Amino acid sequence: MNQMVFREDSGLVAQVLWARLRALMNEAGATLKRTAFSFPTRESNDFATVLMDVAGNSIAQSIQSIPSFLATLPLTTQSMLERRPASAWREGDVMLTNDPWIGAGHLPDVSIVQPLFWRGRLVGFVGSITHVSDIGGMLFGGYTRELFEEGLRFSPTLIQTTAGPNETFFDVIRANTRVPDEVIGDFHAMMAANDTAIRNVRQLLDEGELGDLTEFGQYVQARSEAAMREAIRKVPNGVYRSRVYADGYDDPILIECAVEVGDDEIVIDYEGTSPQVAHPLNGVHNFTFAYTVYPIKCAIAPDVPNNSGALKPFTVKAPVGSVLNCKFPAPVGLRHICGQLLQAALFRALQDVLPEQVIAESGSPSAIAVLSGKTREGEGFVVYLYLSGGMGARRQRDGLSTVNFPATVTNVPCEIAEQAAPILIERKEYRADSAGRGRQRGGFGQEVRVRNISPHPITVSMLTDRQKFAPRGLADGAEGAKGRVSLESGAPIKSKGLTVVQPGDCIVIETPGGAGFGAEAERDPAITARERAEGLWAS
Amino acid sequence: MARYRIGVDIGGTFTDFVMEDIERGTLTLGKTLTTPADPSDAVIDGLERLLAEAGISAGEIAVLVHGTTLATNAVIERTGARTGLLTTAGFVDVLAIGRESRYDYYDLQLELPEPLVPRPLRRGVIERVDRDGTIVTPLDRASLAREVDALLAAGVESIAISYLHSYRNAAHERQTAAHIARVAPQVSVSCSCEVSPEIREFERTSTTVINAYLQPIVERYLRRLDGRLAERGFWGSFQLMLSSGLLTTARLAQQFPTRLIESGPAGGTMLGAFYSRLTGRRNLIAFDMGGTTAKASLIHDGEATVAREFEVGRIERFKRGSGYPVRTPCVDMEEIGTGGGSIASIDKLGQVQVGPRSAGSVPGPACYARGGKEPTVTDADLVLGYLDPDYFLGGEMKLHREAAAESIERRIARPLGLSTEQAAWAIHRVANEEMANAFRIHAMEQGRDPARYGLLAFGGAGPVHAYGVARILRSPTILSPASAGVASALGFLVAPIAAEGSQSYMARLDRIDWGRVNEIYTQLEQAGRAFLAESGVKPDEMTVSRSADMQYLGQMHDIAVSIPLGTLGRADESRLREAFYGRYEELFQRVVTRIPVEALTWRVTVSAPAPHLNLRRVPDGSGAATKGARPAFFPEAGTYVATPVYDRYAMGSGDRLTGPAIIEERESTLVVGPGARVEIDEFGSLIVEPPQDARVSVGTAVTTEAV
Repeated sequence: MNQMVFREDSGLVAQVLWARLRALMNEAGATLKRTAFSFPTRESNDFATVLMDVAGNSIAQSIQSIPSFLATLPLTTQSMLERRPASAWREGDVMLTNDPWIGAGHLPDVSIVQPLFWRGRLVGFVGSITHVSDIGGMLFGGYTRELFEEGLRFSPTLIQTTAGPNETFFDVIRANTRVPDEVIGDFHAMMAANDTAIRNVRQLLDEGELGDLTEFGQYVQARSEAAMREAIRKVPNGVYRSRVYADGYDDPILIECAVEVGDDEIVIDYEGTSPQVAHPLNGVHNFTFAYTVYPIKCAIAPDVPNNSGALKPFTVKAPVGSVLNCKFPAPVGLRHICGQLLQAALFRALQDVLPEQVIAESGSPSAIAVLSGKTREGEGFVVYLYLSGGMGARRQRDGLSTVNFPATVTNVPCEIAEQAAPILIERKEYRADSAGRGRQRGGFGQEVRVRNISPHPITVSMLTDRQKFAPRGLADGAEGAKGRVSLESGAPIKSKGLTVVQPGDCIVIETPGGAGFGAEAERDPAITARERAEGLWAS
Repeated sequence: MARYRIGVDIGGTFTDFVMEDIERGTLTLGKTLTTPADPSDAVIDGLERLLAEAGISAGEIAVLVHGTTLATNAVIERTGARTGLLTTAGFVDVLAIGRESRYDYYDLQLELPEPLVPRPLRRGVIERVDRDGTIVTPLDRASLAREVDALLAAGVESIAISYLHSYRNAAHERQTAAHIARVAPQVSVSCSCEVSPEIREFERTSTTVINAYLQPIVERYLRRLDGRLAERGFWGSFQLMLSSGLLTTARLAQQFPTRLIESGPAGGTMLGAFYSRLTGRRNLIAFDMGGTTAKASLIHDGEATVAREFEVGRIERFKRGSGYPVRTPCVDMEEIGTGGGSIASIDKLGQVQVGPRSAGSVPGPACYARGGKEPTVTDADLVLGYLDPDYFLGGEMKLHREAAAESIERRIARPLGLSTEQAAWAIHRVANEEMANAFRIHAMEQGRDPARYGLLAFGGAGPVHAYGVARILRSPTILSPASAGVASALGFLVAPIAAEGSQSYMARLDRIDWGRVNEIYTQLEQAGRAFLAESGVKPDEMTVSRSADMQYLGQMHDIAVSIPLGTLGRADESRLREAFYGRYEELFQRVVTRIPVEALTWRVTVSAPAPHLNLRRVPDGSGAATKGARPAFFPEAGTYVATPVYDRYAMGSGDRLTGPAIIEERESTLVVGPGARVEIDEFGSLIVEPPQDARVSVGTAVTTEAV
């Protein structure tokens, strides 16, 4: 029997330890963010570092961890444990997977999990996940038909043990990725973060107050779960439905959503959602779960710590073979497009019971433009531009302009992008008239013009949506403007696919605006007049 | 003979004074209430009192060093000048678009800081420079005239100019400034190529706008103060403290008021660095805990750590990303919402939460008995016996222990089923943990292990909590300097006058144009030397240090790397790369050698020697004598312990004692636990060594029964 030192009757000790664990995990997360090479990790905080118990349930994480990964990493670890039971793990083991169905839904998201041994015993796990610099396959884009084209897939693989690194694995990486040093650098960044967390937690365990972590983990999860159930109790029982459409490629994709609120639990069922497609828009269950619980948590319990306990009251169902729960080997590269629309469906469903908490539809998913080609010196380049639309209006406040939701992306400074690619960004400003009108208006989208100033063509891969289906308002709020992409020299461009921008030509990207909340007639006309004077409205 | 140096720090509540008699090595301290309507009133009043007490005239002051929260407050309260912004056409929203991110992932009701320049006053001028500094579109004179006229018609008092890639070619910004000077000489102008010539348009524009926003008010204030000082016969050198911990002249401060924003806190850090060198404890964490916040900054090897960017005017004060970025050097500091006045409450999880709400000075903690009903950290400290109800602020203010106990009982103890003492300890303890956690991260982010750093405690509540914080961080020592009540003002007197310059030129080290690097460094150094020469510093007293912001190609997190002096050339490429690897490894414990390294920004600091503060030695002690004893709670003992109370002013050099002990002075109280050894050094600093087994036992708190 372990010595159990903390006692629930006070909570102080547990609280103090919990706060320390969070601080220790913050340090681990900071290590990852700063040493990763991958663009999405650095610029979009596209990562998480999580401490889990021996069963793979999360206890604490770094504060910068993005909500979607917080939900998937414990599930990933649990899948690893099904394949490799806890008793088989040895100190120094490092296990990696990027299997979309086990991990976070597409191949570039790599999870690395390491056992936490203390005094010779397995007491938990530490995991990190990030979007790595490259994983082979086609460049990040929208043209794959099968998963195989999207890059390497690793089932849970031991990439290092106390005997040393798994050289076969690293050889495969070196032989099959475009920037192997960066990719391996990303793996090392995750391992460094995990090592930092393991070292820190061990030190805390040495102090003797945590017991062996299991009991403490249960305490943390139970508290969080109770707080979440308490929050759910405040939502009236019932089944609430909505549907949302995505542009898709050729045909629209339907997301059908039913939110069944019970006394202290919520079941979300996507029965009726479109079947999986032969384009990379398909999501896996882990990802659908993550992008379902995150917006609901934002609406009903933003302050409750985000761990496995807090997510326990949620059940997410999506039909097998649907675009939200696809089967191998469906392509999944752009699964964020449907994932980011789930919040719109969920908030729409809950609008009558949570009018103060939910927001109108946002101009998301955020637009991503991947530019590739040759510099004037003839070297290859790849640059990602993340361009956000407007956020949906809140009941009491206007929507935020050019802010990503539910993605957590940060933009790239124009001056930095111009260093990396032979482009001139000629405009990056609010897009007038793009916000959905209403008592509270949505946020404005933006207009960006990028000119090719090299003697070579530049290929632009557009990954966006909302060209056919505008963000819709709540409570009589108006729609936000649809997104639009075009070449200065010619016709509009579809929301997904490749475009060649010839030397001297210019691609124009207009991101969608957030929708309004409430009838425009109720808006203070003075505010609208002021915004008109500011040039935000043409009329 | 002018033989006095004076430091004046205008804080939120008090304006602090320190006067050093250079010949005799004595310090005279003063404090007066800050006068927000015209802060120079408090400066002049306090100064006159100080001079009168010492019986000297203003003409005998050699140097007056000034720091002020004027700039910060103007941003926080949005009381700066009506400001216009000129950008490259097509980019008028650069300030509003920012980084397009949310600083809180879970808050759907989030607000972002309103840009300091509203959209009608953000105007685009037709011009364009590319990344290499080549002019792609010449400055369109008609467009310039039109947009400037529009700003003038709208009544702006100040104009910020921030064009794309101006750090590489400033011609258009300078032509624009010249045009404004011609048509509207009364309008202040801030050019991004001068305020912050660094790559990344949002951060540079934000910095330039804040500069423009502050310029007219800082200029007016400094002129007025300068005039009032002159009227009183002051003819010495008038200097200002910068956020970076260096001093500058009033002229430069008026030109670049952004650099004054954190001048007060920088003073505290500089004092930390001074004590670090004085006592030979080269590694310290300067820990300042006041009424509403706690701050920490790292002193490494006797030097303050300087960050290249910080935030001002946060809407959520303790959330990173909720304010305006300022890209100018600033003492690297962590600030959290834990102070004596921080309110304790119970959060949704049934845990004790301390701050970030503060009771302020009105109504204040419950024990002030001025209407405050919510328990605060100070209330807990009082209930635990750490504070003397009859000797707070030297007895100027009576504290009410019953009121403190009652509020803790009602708001915390009863709902959680704890005794009042357990609840008080929980509040004290949670506050310590919050601070220790924040400070640990702050140290770790710089690649430092906090357990190797002593804790230098100041501020009203710093010494009360230092022992608890030190034990969590495993700090080897705690230092409580004399005159800690006016730490910032005293810190002003140990800072050197210096010039800082920076310039972006982004290139891979293996392809860099060394001629250009040398040109940048030479120009920055010459400008710095010229500035110091103007301030009367002799060339052979000037020291030059250089650094560069470097990163792996494609990484977006650059780090500052020291660069050797002298002309650089191809042969130095590997030296610079090695220097980068060295610092990178220090920060992240690993290095990748196969990825190219690039530099972004080049920096030079030209500095005069730091003035020596001639501290008078305190007389030898004759054995510390207690002035009484009172029960104080120590978790190690598991109970209240009759704890001896010492009068700090009666202690002399070499006096030693062993904890538990309470050592009182007017502005604060140092609390040390059982087994700690305390010694007072020759300069009157208290030096505490916690017992070796100072592992923090978190378990005792709950098993302890109240006495």
